[in-house]
Amino acid sequence: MALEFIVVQYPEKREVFIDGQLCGLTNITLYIQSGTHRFHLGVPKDYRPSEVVQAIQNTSPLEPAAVVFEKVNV
Amino acid sequence: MRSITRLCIGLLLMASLFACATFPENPKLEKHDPTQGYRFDELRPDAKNTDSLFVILTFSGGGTRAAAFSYGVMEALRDTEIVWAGQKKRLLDEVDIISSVSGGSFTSAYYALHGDGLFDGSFERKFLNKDIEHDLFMRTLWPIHWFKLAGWSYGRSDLAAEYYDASIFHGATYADLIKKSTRPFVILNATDMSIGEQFSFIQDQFDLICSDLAKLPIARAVASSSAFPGILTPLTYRNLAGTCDYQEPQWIGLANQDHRIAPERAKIAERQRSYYLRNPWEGEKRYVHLIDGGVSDNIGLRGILFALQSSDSPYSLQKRFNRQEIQKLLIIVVNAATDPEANRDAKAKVPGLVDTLITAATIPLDRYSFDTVERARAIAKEYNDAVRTRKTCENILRNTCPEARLPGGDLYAVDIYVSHISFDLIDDPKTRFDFKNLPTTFKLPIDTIKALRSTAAELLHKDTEFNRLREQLK
Repeated sequence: MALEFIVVQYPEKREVFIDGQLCGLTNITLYIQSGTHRFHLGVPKDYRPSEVVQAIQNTSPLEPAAVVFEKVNV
Repeated sequence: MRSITRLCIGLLLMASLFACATFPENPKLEKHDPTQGYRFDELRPDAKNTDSLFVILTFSGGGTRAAAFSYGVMEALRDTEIVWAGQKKRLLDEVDIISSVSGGSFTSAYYALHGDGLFDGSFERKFLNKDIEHDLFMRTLWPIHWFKLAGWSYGRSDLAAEYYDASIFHGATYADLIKKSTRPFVILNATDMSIGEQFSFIQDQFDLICSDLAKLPIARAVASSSAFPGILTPLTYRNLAGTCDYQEPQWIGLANQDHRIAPERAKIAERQRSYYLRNPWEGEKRYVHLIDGGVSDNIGLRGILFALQSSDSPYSLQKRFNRQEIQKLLIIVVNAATDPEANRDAKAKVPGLVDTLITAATIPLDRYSFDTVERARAIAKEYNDAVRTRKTCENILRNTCPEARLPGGDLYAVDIYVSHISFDLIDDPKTRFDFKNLPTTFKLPIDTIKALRSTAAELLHKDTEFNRLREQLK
């Protein structure tokens, strides 16, 4: 079970949900275990895509995987 | 003659009646609700027990020896004063989770129920200083119990559970722990003998079999955790999966795709599903048979490692690191494992079958326990190294290329301390030898119990990691 690193990118500070659980905030490096994960952000729902499913592996603290959401007007 | 006939008929009737004696069924869960029941998330931190200083204890198996050794550590933590978040308190008050196996489960369960009542002498009277083996043996001599034991689904461990309930835990159930709503979250661990995996007495595990842990006697959980193979029988639980509208956590479906990139995660998901999602070609799993928790993990640490490495665990620590809730994490592994001198190498005689089988069963377990502690240390180092690496590179970059930034934002730093308290650390070779040759029983001389308690405290006070943390809590 390898320790991996991700950054969930979004123009604002927002809660990050990993596999349905609150696991931190956007734009900081987060710890995660290797594997396939589902990401979404907290309310309001002014982002897209509505969720990202991404396999995370082979990252390092210097090269975290990026999970990218963009802001949309609602 | 007629009276003898009547007696025989009476006994036969009784026998046939009790031959139907069966295990007490685990209560059904009416509807799955992830916010109800004995779960870590339902025990909130407060000023007395913060999340920022997070303390985890694991208690190994080893009968009364393990119970006394873990009790000694509890006494030492009670007597350790710290200052945290501006408050003077005992380190014991900051214990958040206790994960225990077999003999260690008696200490942890009693503490979960009685808190400081663990130290008022009652635990010593009811368990530590008592000849439990004698009491259990005497119970088997009661004719009424012969008839019960003749039942095909009622075993010696069911009898032991009744005894623990009557003499140690006095009818307490998990509902009493839920009502208390205080930490530590005590996880009693058994082993599912069909899949060879840890089976924990927490609602998240009982959700899988649609059973309501709240109504289960603590004594039955302790009996399951300490059902030492060969001496005590497995305990049976009904698998009621499919009757409570169980909502599978998201990660299980995702982990199902991870056999190549995260095989351990995929395996854990597969084992969880084995309780409620069976393929047509697989056998039915209508019951769960539990044996001693020491069979799958004799130090109660595997679940903690999963929580440390993953957000999938129902009491994930990684999730709390990411939410920046934990600043310092102390894990104390209390391991009462022995290494009895076999004396077989003094003779050319071929070792007997029992000796060979016991050796074959215990050596891999001891190695596994050792590797598990090493794995805990490696994970702690991995977290600490990640932060150090990033900080070092940021400093170099700041000095050499001030405009450049590393990808990603700051990485939250958690200080992790892993203490392993075991007989191996006893300095005096003769004392170490004596301790490592103590038997695994439910009776020990009172002097031995006292020695185990004081040695546990001494070893903890000498432990480098423990003292490294203490220095920062003055």
